[in-house]
Amino acid sequence: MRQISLWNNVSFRLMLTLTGLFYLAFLLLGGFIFTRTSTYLEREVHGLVDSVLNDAVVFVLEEAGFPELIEEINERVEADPYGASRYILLNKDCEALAGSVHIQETLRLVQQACREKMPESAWLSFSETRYGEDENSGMSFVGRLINTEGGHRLFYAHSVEQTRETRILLATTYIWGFLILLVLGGSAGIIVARVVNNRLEVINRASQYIREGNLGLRVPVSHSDDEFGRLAVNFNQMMDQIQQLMESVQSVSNSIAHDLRTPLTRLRNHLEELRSSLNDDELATERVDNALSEADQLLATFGALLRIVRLESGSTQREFMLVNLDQAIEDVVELYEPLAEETGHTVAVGTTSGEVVLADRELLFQALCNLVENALKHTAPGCQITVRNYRNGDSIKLEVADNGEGIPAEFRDKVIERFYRRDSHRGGSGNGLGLSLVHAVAKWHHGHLYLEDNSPGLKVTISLPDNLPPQPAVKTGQTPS
Amino acid sequence: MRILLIEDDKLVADYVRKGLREAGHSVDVIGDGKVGLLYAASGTYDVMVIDRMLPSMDGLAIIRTIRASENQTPVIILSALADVDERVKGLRVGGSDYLVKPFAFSELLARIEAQSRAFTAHSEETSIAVADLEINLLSRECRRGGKPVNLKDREFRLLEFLMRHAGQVVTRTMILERVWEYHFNPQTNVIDVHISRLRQKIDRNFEQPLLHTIRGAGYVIRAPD
Repeated sequence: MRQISLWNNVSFRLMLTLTGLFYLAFLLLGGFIFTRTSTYLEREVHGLVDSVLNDAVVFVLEEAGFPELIEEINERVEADPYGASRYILLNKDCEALAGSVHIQETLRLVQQACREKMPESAWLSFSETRYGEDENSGMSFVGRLINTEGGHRLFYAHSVEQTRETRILLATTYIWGFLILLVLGGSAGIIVARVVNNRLEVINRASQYIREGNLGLRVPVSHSDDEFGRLAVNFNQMMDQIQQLMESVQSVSNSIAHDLRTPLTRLRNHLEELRSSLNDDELATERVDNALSEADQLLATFGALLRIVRLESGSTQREFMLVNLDQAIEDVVELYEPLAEETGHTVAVGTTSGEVVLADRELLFQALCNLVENALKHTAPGCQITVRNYRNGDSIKLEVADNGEGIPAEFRDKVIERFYRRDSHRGGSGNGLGLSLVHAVAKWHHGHLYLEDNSPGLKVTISLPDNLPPQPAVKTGQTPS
Repeated sequence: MRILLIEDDKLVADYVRKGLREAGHSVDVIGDGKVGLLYAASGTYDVMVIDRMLPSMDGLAIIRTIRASENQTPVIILSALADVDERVKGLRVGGSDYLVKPFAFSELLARIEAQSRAFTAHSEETSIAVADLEINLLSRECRRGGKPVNLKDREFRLLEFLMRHAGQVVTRTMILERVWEYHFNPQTNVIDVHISRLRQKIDRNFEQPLLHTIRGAGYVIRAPD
């Protein structure tokens, strides 16, 4: 099976885009929940701090008085000196009166804030140093400094440890979720892409085989009535119609063969008979000979047309064999060299590359003959015709080049069309099918035909794909028999 | 020559019979596959011409059957199927030659006569002579009237083919098939030029030409009467 690149695969790319979008949505949602939760938790702590301070001022200070407040604070601090709460009461000179004064760094921080006249609305965030293995130390706090009666200032901070832990938990939960999603989503993407791809590939491969000439082949139809099943059914119905059309083309060409070529051959045979009964009448013999060669010309045209139709419809089945291209061009040059000499041209083998292709030997040779014949017919005496072969990357080229007058660029596509002959050549021999046949032969070999400027002259190239399977290196110079 | 023609198309059959009789051969015409096989198996023919598509039995099946019984009579297959692999198929079951319908009668006649010759010729021959023209198949030398004639390899093969069928007409298509080993019809007179080159070498400066053109049919090499 052909290895399919995942990147060249629509379903895979679609799945990738989809999962990507899904991840993005997941991340956005996660971020949103995270910020919302953090804000909420922060507000909770702020609310707690505010209500503690409010309690102290309203219920203790205003109802019981200042000494009660000091006592209450000290009591609370002593109950849990390293807990989640930090109380500090300062006088108007920012000297500590009560509270968590045993924690020097916090005290200094608060005293500094007091001296700098930190506004009541501001929040003070700080972390304490961790003392050895003490579980309760090293926590982070957030607190506020408020003014009370007589210029005294009361500070209360609450630990944000709870908030921090919740945040970390939230973040790790999300990261794990994301990783699981990444693995599951990714594999789901690949699986879906594979499934879709495999079902499409069945249809793809079938169409490739069909294109290669196995017209009777159909796509296997699964019984599930899904879109692929329907595609396969439609595809098969379309192929049925195409096959019918092809068959009718073939039957038309067969009828040309039988209904036109057969009577024409009979006519030719009658002429031959007539000729042998003429004995010594030279004038009549010459006329019959002319009629005979006209009939031969017509038969050749029908033959060429039929061959083109059959090649183009893919209905002809031929045997591929190893064709030595050097041999083929040597043969064609050798065959045409005497004729060229007679018409005043030169035909020569150009560069050879020793290339071998799997091809139909007769068709390739016929194509080369047609090209050389064309060059002989359409160039002035004295012109040079060169036949060569060479490799260009993955393709193997067969080239027939001349240094005649060439074909103007705008006519180069036209001359490939059937029966097209440039006006200046209409009087000459030939049927306007030579290049069409070459084109059909090139196409039939999955190749191309190029007409290019040889400045001066015309360069016709048959480009064939390199279709030889890679061969293991053979040390000896023996040719496979 | 005794020739068996198995062909169900009456027009073709009548025409071929008439032509062959005029050329001096005796012909039996059968229009049915099974009856044809009975005649073919009798083994008294010099050449058989068998159509591929016949009522009651396929032409290739007839050939396979008679070859299986070691009957080596040359068989020319007639067929409307022109593809090369059809030709290969026909030759593989034991056909000696393959002619695509529709065909010119002169082509069929030339091939029939070539087959009868091929059947009787001894392949161990080391030299062939026609009048005072002689070729040596081992040393690949050619002499006319004792004087050496210098031939290129392909010219020698062309001459050898003509001389192996001395006295018989060979067509341009046959020459292309046997000497160049390609099966197709060139549009130009490319073979004629090769022939005239060969003629230049073997017939020039000699009173009696040996290589003749048969208009509308092909070429023949033969000793002067």
